[in-house]
Amino acid sequence: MSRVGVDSLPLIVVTFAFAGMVIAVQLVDQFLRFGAESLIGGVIGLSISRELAPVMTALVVAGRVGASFAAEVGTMRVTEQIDALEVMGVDPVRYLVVPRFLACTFMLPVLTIFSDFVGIIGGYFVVMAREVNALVYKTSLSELMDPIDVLGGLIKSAVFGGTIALVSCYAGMSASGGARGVGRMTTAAVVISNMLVLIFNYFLSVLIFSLRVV
Amino acid sequence: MIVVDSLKKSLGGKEVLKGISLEVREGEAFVIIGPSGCGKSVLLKNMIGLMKPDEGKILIGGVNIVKASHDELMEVRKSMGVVFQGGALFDSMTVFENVAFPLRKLFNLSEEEIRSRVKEALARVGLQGVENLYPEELSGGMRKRVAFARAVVSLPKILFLDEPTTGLDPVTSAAIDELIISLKRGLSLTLVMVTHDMRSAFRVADRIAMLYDGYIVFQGSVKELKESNNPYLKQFIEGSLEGPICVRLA
Repeated sequence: MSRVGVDSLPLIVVTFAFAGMVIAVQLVDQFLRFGAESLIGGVIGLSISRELAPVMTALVVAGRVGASFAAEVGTMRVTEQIDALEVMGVDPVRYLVVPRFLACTFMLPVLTIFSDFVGIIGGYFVVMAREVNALVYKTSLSELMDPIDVLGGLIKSAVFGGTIALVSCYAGMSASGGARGVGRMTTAAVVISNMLVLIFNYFLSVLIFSLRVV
Repeated sequence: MIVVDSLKKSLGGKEVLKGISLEVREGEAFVIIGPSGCGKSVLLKNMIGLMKPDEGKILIGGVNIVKASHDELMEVRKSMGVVFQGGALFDSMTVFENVAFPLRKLFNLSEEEIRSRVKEALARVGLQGVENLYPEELSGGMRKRVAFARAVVSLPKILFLDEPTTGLDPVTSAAIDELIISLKRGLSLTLVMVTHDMRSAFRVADRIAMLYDGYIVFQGSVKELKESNNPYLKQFIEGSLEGPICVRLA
């Protein structure tokens, strides 16, 4: 849990401070041109909490934590440590995969909450620098955003967390052929995790935000 | 003690074991030799339950581990220790935690009892004062010794060894062979060792089987082996290129 959550936090904070700021830079001019500054806060909040925070947090975690899971489990596979576990009556899935799956499934939503917060604050500073009223930004946030926007993002991030853990551990378990095999499966773990995150994101967004299944 | 009957196993569409039958008697050191890639490790993995054969039976203490239930397999596993080729020590754990691992997972012992059993196992393999070190801090020979300590800490009846001297210098190999012999005597173990190191095989073995191309081409005592005219054996022991054993380097 600590490795997935606490250790990823500095990276998440830096990533989302700048992500929020760059969205604000792109939006603020267009919105001001159409006199729609009352929408800026809400649109930044919505895009971060619904899409950017869950997806980008998952991509960052897939690169940082997923790769480390795949390399660690893969090294255990090629050095027969997983065989040793089995011989000693320990189910490697229960011992290695389940804790990683739970850590990612629980910690990704926690990281996403930080991403939401830092991203919206980053956007706020850029908007303030363009002399938009702070109250307008805050009011826009509270008027345009519903709890489901944040909750939906957190549900998505939990699914992404579980996916990253399962893909990475499976890749590690399937490693063979020494260091080269571990390297190949680590790359595969990150690539497949990223693709699945983006594909699942589309379907989950349709289910949660368009069809309002939740 | 161990009976392997008509064992067949294919991997990736290639038949690696083509009907292996052998018997390991209680208290003996049974060594399986053969060239690299002949299926020795696959045979060992089947015998310790890490692979399921396609056909055939493996009886350990009367239990067919191919068809055994989870509980039966756990009971069989309590009676066996395994030393893997590279040691397979858990690199995230200290020496103490590594050696204590099977006791914690397979037996219900108090922490005090675990401490004393680990200390005893480490002393048995000639190691002291290394409990708090990590495997990466040990030499190759010491790592092997820790692997032996972990394999015998639960006082098993059978010890399986996969190429225990691979990657070690001749002197350390001799020391490991001595350790194997002393563990066998001290704990009244039945040994099953897979190796292609003939010096080690001669030092340790009571009986030897040679595996080649998925078949057992010889099975007998060390004396019988030395007197045998089996062309596979002769070529393998002499390390000659002339003979029935084909070597494929590519």
